[in-house]
Formats: sequence, C-alpha cells, structure tokens
Amino acid sequence: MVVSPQDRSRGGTGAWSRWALSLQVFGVVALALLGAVVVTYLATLPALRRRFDLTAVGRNTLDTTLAELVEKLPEPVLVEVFFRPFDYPLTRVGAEAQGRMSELLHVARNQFPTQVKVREHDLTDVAKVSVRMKELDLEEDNVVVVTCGKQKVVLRLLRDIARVDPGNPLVESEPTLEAFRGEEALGMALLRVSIDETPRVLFTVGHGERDLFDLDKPVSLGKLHSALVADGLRADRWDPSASPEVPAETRVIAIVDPQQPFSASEVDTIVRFVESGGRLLVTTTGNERLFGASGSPEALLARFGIAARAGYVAQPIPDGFGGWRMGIEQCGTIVVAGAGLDRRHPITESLWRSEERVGLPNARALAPEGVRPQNSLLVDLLRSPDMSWRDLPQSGGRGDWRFDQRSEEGGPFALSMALAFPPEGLVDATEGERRAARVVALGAPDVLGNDILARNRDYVMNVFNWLSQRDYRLVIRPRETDRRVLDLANTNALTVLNVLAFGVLPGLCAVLGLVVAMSRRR
Amino acid sequence: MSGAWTIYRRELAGLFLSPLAWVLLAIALAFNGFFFVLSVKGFGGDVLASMSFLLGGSYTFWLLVVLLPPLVTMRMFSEEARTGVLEFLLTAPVHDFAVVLGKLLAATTLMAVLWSSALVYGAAAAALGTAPDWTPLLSGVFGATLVSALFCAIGLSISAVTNTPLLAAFFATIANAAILSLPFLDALLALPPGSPLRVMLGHANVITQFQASFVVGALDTKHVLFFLVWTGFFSFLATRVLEARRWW
Repeated sequence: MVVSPQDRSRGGTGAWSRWALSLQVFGVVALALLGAVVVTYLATLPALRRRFDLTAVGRNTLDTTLAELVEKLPEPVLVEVFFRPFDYPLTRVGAEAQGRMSELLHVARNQFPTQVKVREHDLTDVAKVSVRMKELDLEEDNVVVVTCGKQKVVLRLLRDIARVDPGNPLVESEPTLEAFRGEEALGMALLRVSIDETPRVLFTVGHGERDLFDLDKPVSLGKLHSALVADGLRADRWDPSASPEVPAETRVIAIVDPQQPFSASEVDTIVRFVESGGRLLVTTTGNERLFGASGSPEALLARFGIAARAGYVAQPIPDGFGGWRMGIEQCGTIVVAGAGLDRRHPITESLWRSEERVGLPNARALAPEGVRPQNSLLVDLLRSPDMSWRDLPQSGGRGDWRFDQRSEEGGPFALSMALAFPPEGLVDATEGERRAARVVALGAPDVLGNDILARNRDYVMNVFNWLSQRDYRLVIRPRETDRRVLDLANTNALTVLNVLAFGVLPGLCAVLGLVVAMSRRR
Repeated sequence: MSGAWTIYRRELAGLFLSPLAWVLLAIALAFNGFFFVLSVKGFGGDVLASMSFLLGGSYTFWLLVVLLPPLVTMRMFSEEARTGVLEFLLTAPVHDFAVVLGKLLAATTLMAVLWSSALVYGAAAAALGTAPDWTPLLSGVFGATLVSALFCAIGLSISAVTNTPLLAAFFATIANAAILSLPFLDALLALPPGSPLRVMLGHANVITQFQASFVVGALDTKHVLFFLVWTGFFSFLATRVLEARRWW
C-alpha cells in the first residue's frame, strides 16, 4: 500500500487517494477481524478443541466411571443450579459445598462441552427463578436439577451432595463438611436420567384404599403421586375386580391401607404376578376388623412369610428433664434412625449414610413367620428402638401408650421389611438379581400420606425405586483436593515471604533502576 | 523475520536500560508481593490457592494487566514518531510487521519477567517445606504472559496512532478496561439466555477465558488460541496503522 512514484506523478497523494487507501486498509482490517472471529469460533468446536489437565491430582478431570457415564449419555443433559447463601451457622460450610459442586460441574462442562450443559440460576432474580422453579416442580432452593429429555433428578445440596457435621454451638464448634459426594450424586443422577423408561406403578382401588390423586386429605396419596411422576415413574389406579388381569407393563403393584378384603382370586392374581418376577408394596391396614382376616393385606403378606402383629409399636418420649414420658399420643410415632436403618440394603443405605430419620405414626410390628419362597432374602429395613414396645389395644380398641411388661412385648420390632426371591421358572441364574421378585412390607400406611410424606420422602422414593428396579449402585471416588499448606503458626514462613515479596524483589528492581539511571547520566 | 529478532533485541535493551522499566517492575512487584502475602495469610497458608489468586484469580492481577502494558508500550511508537526515529525505522529494510512483532515480544518479555515472580514465590514456599504444584504454576505464568501479550498488542496499536506517549497510555488503558468490561454489557442490556449477542459477549470474556483454564491448572487449546488470535489481530492492526503513517 506504499504510494508509488507513478501515483505521485499523477497526483496520487491527494485527498481522494488517501481516502481510497484508507478504505482499503479498513477493508483489510475488517477481513482480519472476521478471520479472528472465525478462528475463535472454530477453536470452541469440541472436535477441534483439546484440553490438558496439568494438576498433580487430576483436579480438572472427572473420575473414569463418571466420565464413561457422561460419554454414554443418549442425549445432552442440562444441569441447573439453584444455589443461595445459607443462613448462619451453615453459611461457611454451605458455601464450601456449593463451591465444590460448582467446580465439579465446571470440570464436567469443560471436559464434555457437548454432553453437559450447566445453567447457574441467579436466585436474586426472584421473578425469573420462581417461574423456572415452578416449571421444575421445585419447592426448595440449594438444589441441582439434572434433566435429560423427559427424565429429571433433583439433588439436594446438604443431603444428596454433601454431608454436614452440625457442630456444637455450646462449645462454639462450627458446622463442618463431613463428606462431599458430589461425584457420586451426579453419577447416580446421570444414570437415572439416561435410562429412558417410565416404570408403571399401579395402586389398587376398590377396597377402600387411599386416594391416589387427592392432595387435600392428610392421609391421601396425592403428594406421593406427584413425587412419583416427578421422579420419572408412571403412577395409576388398578381395580382388580373390574380388570382381573394385571395390566401389561406393570412393574409395581401397591396396596395401601385397604378397608375391605381382597377376594381370593384377586389375592391369587397378585401372588402370581409377584412370583413371576413382579414387585409389590403392601402396607398393613388401619381397619382393626379387617386386620389379619382373610383377604387382608396381612393375609397377603403371610403368603410371602411375613406376619404383622396386632397393636401399634410405641416408644417413650423424652420429657426434657432427662426422663421419659409414656401414656401420650406422641408415643405412637416411632422415629427410626442410625442403627434402626439397615446399612446395606439399597433402600436404607443412603438414609443411614446421611443420618436421616424416618417417622412412622401408628406402625404395626412385622416379623418373619411361616413359609417363605425358596432362596428368598428377607431384610428388616426399619427397626424400632430397643426401648419400644408393642402397645396392645385395650377394651376401647386403642392402646394406652403405656408399657405393660406382663402382657406387652418389648422391642425392637421390624416396621418395614424387604423380600427378594428368584421368580419361578428362571432358567438363567445370572438373570436372577435383575429379574428377582421383590416385596416391601410397611407397617405404617400413614408414611405415604400427604401430611408426612415430605418428612419421609427419601425412604418412600427409595422403596419405589428399588421395587421398580431403579436402585442403581455407583461408587465413585471423590475427587482429591490438593491442599499444600504452609505452617504459618509454627514457622517464620510469613516473615520470609514478606521480606522476599515485599522487600527483596521490588528492592532489587529499584536498585537496578537506580544503577541504570546513574550510568545513563554518566 | 530476522528483522523482528533485531528489533526485539534493540527494544529489550532499550527497555531494560531505561529506569522506567525498572521502576514499573519495582512498583508492580511490590504490589503483587503485598497481595501475595495477604492471600497466603487469608487462605491460611494454602500455597495453591495463593498462587491462583496471584495469577488471575484476583482483581489485583487484572488491575496490573490493564495498567501496566499501556505504560510499557506507550513510548514504543509515539515517542519514536515524536523524535523522528520512526522515519528511520520505517525506511529500514525491515517489514512493518517485523517491527511490530519485535516491539510486542519485547514488551511481553517485560511482563513475563513480572509474572515469573510467582515462580520465585513458589521456590520460596518449596524452600519453606511446601512445594507448589509446579506444572499448573508454569501454565499460570504462561497464561498471564499470553494475556499480557494481548494487552501489549492493544497498547502498540494505540501507540502507533498518536505522537504523544501519555495520550497513548491513557487511551490504551481505556481500551483495556473496555475490553475487560464487555461481558458486563450482557447484564446491563438484560440479554436473554442464548441470544447471539450474549453468546458473542461470552466468547469475548477475557477473564473467563483465562480463569477457565490457566488459573485452574489446565491448558485448553480454545483459550490459548483465543489469546494468540486476538494478539495477532491487534498486531496486524498496529502494522496497518504504522503503514498508514507513510501516506496519511
């Protein structure tokens, strides 16, 4: 673009020539700008992009199990983050858990930009966020929602992702992060959303069972229905008297607190369904006249070697002065935690690990009795505390919530049991675990009711997930945190760094500058 | 490109044989050192967190990146144009791009010296018994140098436009700050998620591009290319501006 002598002779240095040259330069610069934009865009394409983790502990790389899960996803997943600062005293520990989860999600997004999309919602924008939370059917914040197609899993920060030691305010010990299981929780969520199936759960009707769609009555199952649908299950009614055969594609049959007996043929149909590899949830009945009678849920359970005992399990209540109180209604609500939860069974293992409690009002005791199916495995899922007792009905029909050592039996008692056995006619033994018939017995139908479902939601959802064969087990090693910490308290490290960083290095430069200035002056 | 090497050596000697460079380095190192020690204290002695803070994880880093390159590059063309040295340079048998490249490399070298102080801090921490993770630390220094190269290229382009060094430094600082503030436009304009402008602004986010890889100890071709390409673009712009000086 140098102006040649010929141009000059033609008067090419005039204003017009300069403007023409300027236009050319602008054109070239615009082209260069376009080129830069194109190259920048191309560099973002996953096929052309390479990322290298340079950290010693692989901080920027997902665990191989988790990475394989992401690679095998049938379609991209959207991970939505709804984090808000926790109130005191959980502020610090909550921020730590949020930070680690956000870092994990960034690693996942950077490693698999096409498979994992992460959207962090700004919860200060209340209007926008509340719309989205409503769309996702979320009732609380500090959750991570993993969505893939129609499947959705909600992970709660301080329950599914991180475990917090609450500390002790009396000795000024702050809550601490006891365990971070973000990798495992994310892996489980990916596994669940990636399996494109909606198992069908049928709730029996026609015998006075609880209403599946009613959201108002405290004992109805409307909230349970919503929770099942939100978790990717299909829940519906089935009236065995109207359609005697179990509908096709049924994975689970649920019988919740019937008030009328089932006919013999209905019972046989259900037993046949289970014995051929079906799944069944049965709660005991609250109807004292039906309890244990022919066609009752207890009689059905007896076909699988599980007996329900009369009366309700009760436990003494702390009186606040170091003693115990009996004789009050609250004794009839059993709280199961810790050793009362089976620590190995898929239904209760996660509850035990996260120190959750299950509250069971009006619970009946269950026990193994009679003949069980061959090669079956029966597990006590929930056990009442040692100091519980089986409160027998008095002349008025209800118990007095007082332990009578002469006539009443002391605890602990099984309140929920899980049975698994190979179905009839199974040829391939390796298929046994996958196709095993499964039965869960629950001595307290109120656990599933609208009123207290929220308190027991994890237990209830684990029951349905186990029954519908969605009890995925995944062990992912938590990502290592590389902490290299200088001992500031016992060494002079800080002094050394202070002298070096604030004194030696800048001082050296200042001296050199002085030397240069003086030598230039000479 | 042998001309570029000659220019580079000449510029480097010019920089390090002038008190300005040393004064700038002394101030920047004192500033950096102060915040490094503060971060070591703040993170309870965590060396890795302090190193990340020093190399891109803090506002102090970006403050240096905005302010220092304009001060280093302000004289590179404008002062030479004012004193008439540029005439000789432009008539020398060296391509204009080689001139720009040589000056850019010299300015970037000065910035690299500044960021290399992190290696000295790392060595001190190692001598005190807690060695840092060296590879991410090196990648951090490399990344900081790449960012500096981008802002030096911007500074050179502006220095090529004016004959007044202070004016060049002022406009380059404004330009640097504007580039760093680009992503905030997204919130200011309340752009909906997924809108093309928002996506573009996301790609132009220098801070995110840097923090998503170099600060966390990863080397991502996307981010390396981003800085190389835009440094190249502004160097090209400086070359065209320099060339325009012949006929404008």
